[in-house]
Amino acid sequence: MIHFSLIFVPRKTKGFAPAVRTVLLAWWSLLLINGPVLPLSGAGVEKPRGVYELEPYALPTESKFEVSGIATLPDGRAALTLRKGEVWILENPLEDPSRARFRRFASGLHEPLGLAWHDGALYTAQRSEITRMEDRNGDGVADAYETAAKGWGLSGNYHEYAYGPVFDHAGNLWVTLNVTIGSPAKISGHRAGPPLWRGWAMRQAPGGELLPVAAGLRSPFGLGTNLEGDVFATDQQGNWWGTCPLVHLRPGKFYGHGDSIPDMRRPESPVQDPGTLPAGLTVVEAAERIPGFALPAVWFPYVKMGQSTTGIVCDRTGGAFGPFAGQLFIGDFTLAQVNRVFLEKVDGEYQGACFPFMDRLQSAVLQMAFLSDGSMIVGESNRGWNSLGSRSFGLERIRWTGTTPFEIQTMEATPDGFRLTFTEPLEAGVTPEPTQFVINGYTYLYQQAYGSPETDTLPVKVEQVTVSDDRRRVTLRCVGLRAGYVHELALGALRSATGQALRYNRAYYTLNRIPTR
Amino acid sequence: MNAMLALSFLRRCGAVLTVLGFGLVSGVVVRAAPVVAGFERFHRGKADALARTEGGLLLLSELNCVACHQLPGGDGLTSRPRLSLSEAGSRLSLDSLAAFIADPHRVKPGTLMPQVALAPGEAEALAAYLGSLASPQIDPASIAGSVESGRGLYHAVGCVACHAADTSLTPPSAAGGAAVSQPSAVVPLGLAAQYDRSALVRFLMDPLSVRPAGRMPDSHLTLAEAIDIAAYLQRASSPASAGEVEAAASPLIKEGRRLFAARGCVACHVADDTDVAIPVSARVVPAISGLAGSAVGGCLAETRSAPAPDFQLDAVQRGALVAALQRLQEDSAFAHPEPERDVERFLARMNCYACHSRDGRGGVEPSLRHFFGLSDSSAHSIGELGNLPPALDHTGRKLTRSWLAKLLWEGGGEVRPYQIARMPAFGQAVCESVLERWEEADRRTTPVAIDVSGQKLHQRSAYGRSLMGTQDGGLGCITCHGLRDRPATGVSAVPLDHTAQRLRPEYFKELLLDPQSVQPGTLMPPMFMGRAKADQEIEQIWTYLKEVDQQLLPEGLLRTGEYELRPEAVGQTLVFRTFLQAAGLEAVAVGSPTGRHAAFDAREVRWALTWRGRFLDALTTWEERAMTPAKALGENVTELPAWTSFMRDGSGASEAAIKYRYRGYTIGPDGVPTFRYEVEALRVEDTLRPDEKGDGYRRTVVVRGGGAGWVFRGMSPGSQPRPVSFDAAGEAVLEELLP
Repeated sequence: MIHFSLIFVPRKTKGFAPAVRTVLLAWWSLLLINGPVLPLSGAGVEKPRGVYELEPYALPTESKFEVSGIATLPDGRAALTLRKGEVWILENPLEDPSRARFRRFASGLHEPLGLAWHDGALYTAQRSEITRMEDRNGDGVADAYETAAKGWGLSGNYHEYAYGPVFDHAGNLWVTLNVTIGSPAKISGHRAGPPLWRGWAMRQAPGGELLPVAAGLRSPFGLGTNLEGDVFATDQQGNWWGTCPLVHLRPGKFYGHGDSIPDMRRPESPVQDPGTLPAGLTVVEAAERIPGFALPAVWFPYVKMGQSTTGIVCDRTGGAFGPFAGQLFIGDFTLAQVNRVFLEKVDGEYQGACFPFMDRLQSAVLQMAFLSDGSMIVGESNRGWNSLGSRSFGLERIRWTGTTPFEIQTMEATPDGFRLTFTEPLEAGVTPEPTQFVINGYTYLYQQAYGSPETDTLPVKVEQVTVSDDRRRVTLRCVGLRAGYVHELALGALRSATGQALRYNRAYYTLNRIPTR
Repeated sequence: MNAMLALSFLRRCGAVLTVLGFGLVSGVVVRAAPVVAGFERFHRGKADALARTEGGLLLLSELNCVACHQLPGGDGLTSRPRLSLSEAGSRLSLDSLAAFIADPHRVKPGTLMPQVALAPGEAEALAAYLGSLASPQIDPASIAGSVESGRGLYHAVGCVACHAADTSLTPPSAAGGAAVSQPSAVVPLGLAAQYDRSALVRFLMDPLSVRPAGRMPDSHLTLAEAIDIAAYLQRASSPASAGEVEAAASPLIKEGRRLFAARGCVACHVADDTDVAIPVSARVVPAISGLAGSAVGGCLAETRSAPAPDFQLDAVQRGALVAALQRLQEDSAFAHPEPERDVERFLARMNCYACHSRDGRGGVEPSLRHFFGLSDSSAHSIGELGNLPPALDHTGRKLTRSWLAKLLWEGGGEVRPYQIARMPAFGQAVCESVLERWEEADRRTTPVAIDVSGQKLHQRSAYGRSLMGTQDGGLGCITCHGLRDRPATGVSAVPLDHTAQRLRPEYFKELLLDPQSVQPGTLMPPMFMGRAKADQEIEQIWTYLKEVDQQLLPEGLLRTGEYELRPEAVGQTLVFRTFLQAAGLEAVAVGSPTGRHAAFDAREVRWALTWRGRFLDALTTWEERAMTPAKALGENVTELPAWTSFMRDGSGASEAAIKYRYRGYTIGPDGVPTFRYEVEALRVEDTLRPDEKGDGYRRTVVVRGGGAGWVFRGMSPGSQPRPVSFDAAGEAVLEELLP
């Protein structure tokens, strides 16, 4: 069990005046006093064991395995990027992780953060370009390092990470770029210019140029697609971000971070310059007032659902990883955990819920990927920040044992509430009371200051609970739903037909739109 | 008092004589009271009632009285795990077995084994049965071993904490000519001299499988060490063999098996699986009661009579036993003491006090301290904290349970590489229950608060690393504490690799805040006393130590050049992309085993730098969040002309308008990269490699894509622009030599 009570300082308060930090401390302490954070599993309910198993890989000692990108190859092997600039191939990913065999494939890269297999080659984002790596002479080691895309700027500031790439269904290459935080590097031999497109997502069509697509990102580590091939990014709580989001990347959208605004005035920008940003309002109000402003599809309430979202992976295993096929899994750096996301479209826009999935990984989670047997491998490194867990880096595998956990499989919005679908039928003959479904709605401030408290919190009244004939669906009729708000649901001690307790009793639905039918 | 001393003296003589192999040979029959080291050291000769009752209780435990007797008020006492005789026949000959069973006090003076009343022939029957429990042994001649090496090991690894030292041996560290006296209690070595050699070796390597009570702990001897120590223990006798194993069906063996149960041997011993079937009620186990009077009978009688077994107890021991039994009857709490007393009793039972002190009790006796040596002379500076096993004050709040488990039964818990004596394992069965009591006994009344979540901004491990280092602002912890494969730079104290697994964080903080009062005699300076940010800094160091095996070492332990890329050492060209001084933010450095290096600027699309000698240090690229630009390490660092290579019509005027597109590089069969780029419609391959004929560089530029009016401008000094002329295949090859 994570001791949340010990955690009360937002992670990235660096660079802020002491006064600001004091204020942050104060609100954060208040949050904890007023609303104690729920533990990951239901209080007093034993978490069933043996549903998912976590196994660390034994790693080669010649390189630090700060795994920052993972791509599964068509033959089932897994390729991994290491932050120090290498690519390794895990030759036998399905065998006992204590007997893993690794081989170096590429080296000399500049902090690669992401890896994709596309068109017969591996692609990674280095600090200044997307590189396509290929082994042309067949000796098992890359001999071609082609520049597949470049065009963004660098000042040499440490924070200028580039992430990706991912490819969408049309074969477009996507990359996301951090904003610069702090001063440029002191370096000669570099003609300083504005570091272009920092805080942007960029896209390159096959054979085309790399072009800016969307703005307002801060530190968008995670980049991934869902089953439909739509592209999503995660970002970090910090200035302009009240908590960590999952955003659906689309051309012309502005996600809120102010540093990307100057580049909107360039002719290539598809994003409209919003002018002076308003102050003193919530993100919901900001979405109404700022042209092009897009709310995240999902908010991850701070600490309750992690503190630093990272990699995104879609469960394309068709059920080999358990009852969450088609859903997204999202890493978390600080709390070293993996969360789960269910998305639905309402009025053509994605929104949905996040759920805890797996905690107590050994180090900061950076990336996840699925292996051919449906297990998930997780790459880790906490260098530069802090994370729960006693390791600085590593690689682990999460295997589903075949036991179906009793969990909320999906949480959908309805015109007057929510519909929960469980992985297993509910206990026969028992209709849960409305009091077993506690819902609170809240949102976040839109502000340049670091993070945001949960704001404008109000309870939602659950008036009626209906259980479907197959006992897998529970419909909640609610009063007090608010569009744009996070709706935090805490479940009572429900049991499945087989007597299982819920593996996790929490869900957080970002209700950007209330469906009309 | 005099009588007691005399008895004690006799007992010691007996033990020593046995050790030296004279016990039987000399023909002098020496009997002695059973030796329980803790009793001899802490209770014999003490007049106070507490010493008497506690001493008696210790004897009740060590003589295993509860194996046969129900003790009123003694429900808190547990029987010792039984000694295994399942291989007895592999260890001792039938004669040795029979002699020992018939009269254990004659064969092994000081033994805890009582003489059991047996009818004539019964000892032989029991020996036949036990002798039949054997497995094939290795030829003892093949494991001769070195007596001298064994003698050294025996006196160094810790055997002499309990067993007799060779008084003729003066350890090197003893003051010149100083006599070595025996300590207050010497545990007899018993039948070691008569053991089958290979069985003795096996026993020394894994004593707990025979004696799970842990009183003979496992010193983690290697095979070679065990062979040498066995040779030393049997130096006065030729390697013995246990002899022929009798057929299992013989009637004598059958009778012995029956007697093994009927005479109560099963109370303390386990032989083969048949004893499981023998009902406990078969034992003759009178309850001990009515001790108020002086008429004490049975085992405790001054003159023992059959069928009570004879422990050869002396008057002091009998007195202590009676006192303890009376106390048990009167005071039900006696067997269920407060945690502190429980821990004290545990330490006495297991004879931990032979090596460790706690609250001023026990520790290596002065006469034995010379035998506790150092393998690393730099640890002499920390005094007796260096060569003697650590004190056990605060242990219950100092060490984590998992680390205590390593120390007490799992192995692998030793953290003082400079200490020669070993911490032996005593076994889970007898140690596990004390852990919780120990924790309670040592709990602080005012708890120390430390946040080890690792989640606060200040808790970054990088900060802890910098505190541990010797650079400006560092506290220099690494001066005394090594990490990983690096010894401390100065005095050797405990390396800190396993700190986060080993120490409880609260204790870690308590120690750092006031080392002298937590660890009296320590050389550790009070670094954090009065330090404004002590709380935060201690948490930083904790975070760093928690992850230390994967972390960059602190300044001072990190060797210069640790992260240096050395193409000459690996014998191949290295390509390394980073921020590089004089080559910019998109530099691709090319390190050659010839020592002639270069860097390509992928942003400006040109060669930017050449240098000789040492290549680059990857430290900042691989480890720093700040990613400070690297710089060329070697000599002759030459910044190449800041122009690109292609112009139109020899005029530099429109140069800035010419569009370059960097396309990456390919690695040739020789490992050298060829950079690829486009200049408008030209496709260029640009390779700079050490010139095979000279000591400079040869640059080869292959241009395709055609087009008239292109001019190439080289980078070599005095280089003149020259037209690019394509051959029939549409290719132009341009070469130049650079110094």
